[in-house]
Amino acid sequence: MTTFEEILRLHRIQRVELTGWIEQRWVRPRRTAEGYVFDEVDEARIALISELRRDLMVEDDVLDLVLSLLDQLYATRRMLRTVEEAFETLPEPVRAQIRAKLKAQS
Amino acid sequence: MRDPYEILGVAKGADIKEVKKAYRKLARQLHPDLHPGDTKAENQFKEVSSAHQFLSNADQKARYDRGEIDASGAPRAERTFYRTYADGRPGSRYSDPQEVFTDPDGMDIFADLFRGVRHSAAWQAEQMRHADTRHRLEIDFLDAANGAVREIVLPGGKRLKVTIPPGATDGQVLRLRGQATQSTGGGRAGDVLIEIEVRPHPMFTRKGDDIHAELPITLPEAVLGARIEVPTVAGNVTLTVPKGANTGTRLRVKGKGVMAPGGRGRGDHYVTFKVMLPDKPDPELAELVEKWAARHPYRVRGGR
Repeated sequence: MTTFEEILRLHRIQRVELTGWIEQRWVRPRRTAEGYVFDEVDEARIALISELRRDLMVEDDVLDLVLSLLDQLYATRRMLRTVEEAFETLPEPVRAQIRAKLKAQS
Repeated sequence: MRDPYEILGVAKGADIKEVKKAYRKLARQLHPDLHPGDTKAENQFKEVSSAHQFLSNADQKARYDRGEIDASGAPRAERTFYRTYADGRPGSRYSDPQEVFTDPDGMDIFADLFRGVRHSAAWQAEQMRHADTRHRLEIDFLDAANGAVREIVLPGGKRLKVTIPPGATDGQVLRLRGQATQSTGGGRAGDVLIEIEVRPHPMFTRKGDDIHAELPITLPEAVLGARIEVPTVAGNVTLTVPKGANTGTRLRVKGKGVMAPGGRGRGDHYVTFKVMLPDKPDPELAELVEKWAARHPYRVRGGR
């Protein structure tokens, strides 16, 4: 769990940059009485945004689109994991049936 | 470590522009967060990143090109990529803005599979009783600190005046009773829940009922003292900069912070001075300081 100031130092970004990213909801830290608190997922996201901008030279309006697509992609993956977890609880004959169907589809 | 030029696929001794171009192309193909399902991507990306980082240091690159040093860089710190979090529960903080998968009726895939999950009998009954409407309202830092009146438009077109209480905090939820549109089931009108989101302020940081701000002052103001006008959430105040104020010196201005809930009065405003030299180096100043420094040495680092 990291504070706003620590994030600026750790990731070497400007205050005005991080404030902007939060306003645009690119980064969504938790809010407490003491201010913003960044969890590990938020820090990893900040590292990603930094890299996309600095190293991959993605411009901000394109970056907005990229993040939106990534969010949809990960939401889909999380959903698939939920399905997978449910699948694993099914009896083996049922799973075998589903596997056979999937094989036939492709 | 292998030759960094080889890792990036450019000619040995290639100039930094070419190196960066090659890195960008590879990073796009290998960045783990952009290829969530690719298990090999992480190690490959780390190798490519190391090579890029090594050659990005101009001094290091020059010495490596001259054969003075080899490419053994320090091992990179352990890093967990975003994709690891995003694949699991922590990632749900960053759902797609349209929240496609939150409303089962809005999904085009899995609609059948997931219908039962949300629409249990109890949930449906709850919906009949009172349809609360949630609304997110973004307000300025100052409006939150001092209170304000804002108007919102509910889905369906109804306009509502919302009184933001002074001292409102980020994440606070206001409840407006009986203002929601009636649910189709004919239950009684629900409440409108307004979740407040406070925009950060470029200068002020809020800690409880107090406001903290960094205050730049000039060299003469710091050395000789001064009276300057300073903004606070409660308006401008005239502040006396004490003689000899230093970077990091903190001053408290009582009663100029955020209004405490329940109207108990205001918190305080704290300024932390930051001494700033003139933008452009000044030869006259340099001359003065040189003479002064010779007669007045003082230490700010190391043991005292």
